[in-house]
Amino acid sequence: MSGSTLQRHPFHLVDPSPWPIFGSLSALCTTIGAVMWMHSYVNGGFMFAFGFAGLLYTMAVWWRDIVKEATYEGHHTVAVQTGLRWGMILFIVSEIMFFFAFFWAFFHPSIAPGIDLGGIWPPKGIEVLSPWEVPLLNTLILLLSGASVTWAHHAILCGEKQQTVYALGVTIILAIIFTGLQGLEYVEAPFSISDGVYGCTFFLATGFHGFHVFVGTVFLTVCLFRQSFGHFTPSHHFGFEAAAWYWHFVDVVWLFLFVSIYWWGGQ
Amino acid sequence: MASTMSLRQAGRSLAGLARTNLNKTKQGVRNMSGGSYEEELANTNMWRNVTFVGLPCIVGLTAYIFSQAHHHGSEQPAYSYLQIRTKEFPWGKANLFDVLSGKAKSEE
Repeated sequence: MSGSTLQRHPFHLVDPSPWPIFGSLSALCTTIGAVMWMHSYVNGGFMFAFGFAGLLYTMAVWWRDIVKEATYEGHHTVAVQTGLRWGMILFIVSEIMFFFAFFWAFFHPSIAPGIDLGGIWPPKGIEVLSPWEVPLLNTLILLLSGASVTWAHHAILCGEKQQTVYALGVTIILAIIFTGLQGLEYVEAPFSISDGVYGCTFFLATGFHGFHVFVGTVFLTVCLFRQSFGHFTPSHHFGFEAAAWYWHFVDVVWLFLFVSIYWWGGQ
Repeated sequence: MASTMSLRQAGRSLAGLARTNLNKTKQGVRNMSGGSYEEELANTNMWRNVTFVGLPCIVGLTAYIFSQAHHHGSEQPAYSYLQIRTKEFPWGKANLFDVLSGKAKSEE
């Protein structure tokens, strides 16, 4: 960054960065390693872990750079924030399409179950989880976490810094409880991912949702630390808003999972 | 030509309209991002109260659900189309969550 010259436009011309190519190579290593691991090649697990560690490192340092550019170098002008908003909106739209595919995979066999499933849904022989126990509890936990993240947002908007940290803390604890309960359900489940189309679609959809909950939890935790470092102001806190949007998205996906897979698909 | 003039005028007034709208949106606070400090404080308190009312409800429901005895149905028949294992997983023969929870050790 050349600090002496006056910038006559509001846009952020980014500096060259090693992270795109480093992240791409890590992703390649992760994919090839995962395939080798799943096909029991020698050192496949090591290659997968090595690539994945590279991916985690890339995420940490790349986002560290963005936080620096936003908070300490002032590159995130109103125009740049508009771009960030569009980026996040398009990302969440792509995530909706991602989950749409899994719902399609679920509804295709369940709306008209074939003769190979016994002509019924859930398929013959599958003992399903009751929606009115842990899944209902998880629904309410996620809805409450939506309320507490809104509490955090309004606390940021009126500059209540300590209260924002508390509200984010409550949200993160609820998120961790959700993940713990889902883990418990997975252990208790009488079917596995390789038990026909029911187990396959169930674990694919709920598993990817669980992974998104994990990512959202990390996102909110980063926001908690940034808030306690004083990074967010009442007028400029897009990092938090992106996390809140993502969290609401994850919440809505769960509502659809609960209604269609656990409730409608579990009768 | 009169028609060209009116087109130009229309264009100019449209551009003016766009400019004023742009200025309007750039001033003040973004849409859905709250208003005055008092309004935001009221919103903060409301959502804090919602959270504080919800938390004991969640705790109560958790206690209720886990106090109910788990009624697992009778052992399901060994259908030939379930539990198909034609090759090992990277972590072995058993289900991953049985391995993680220690359930699988007794079977192997």
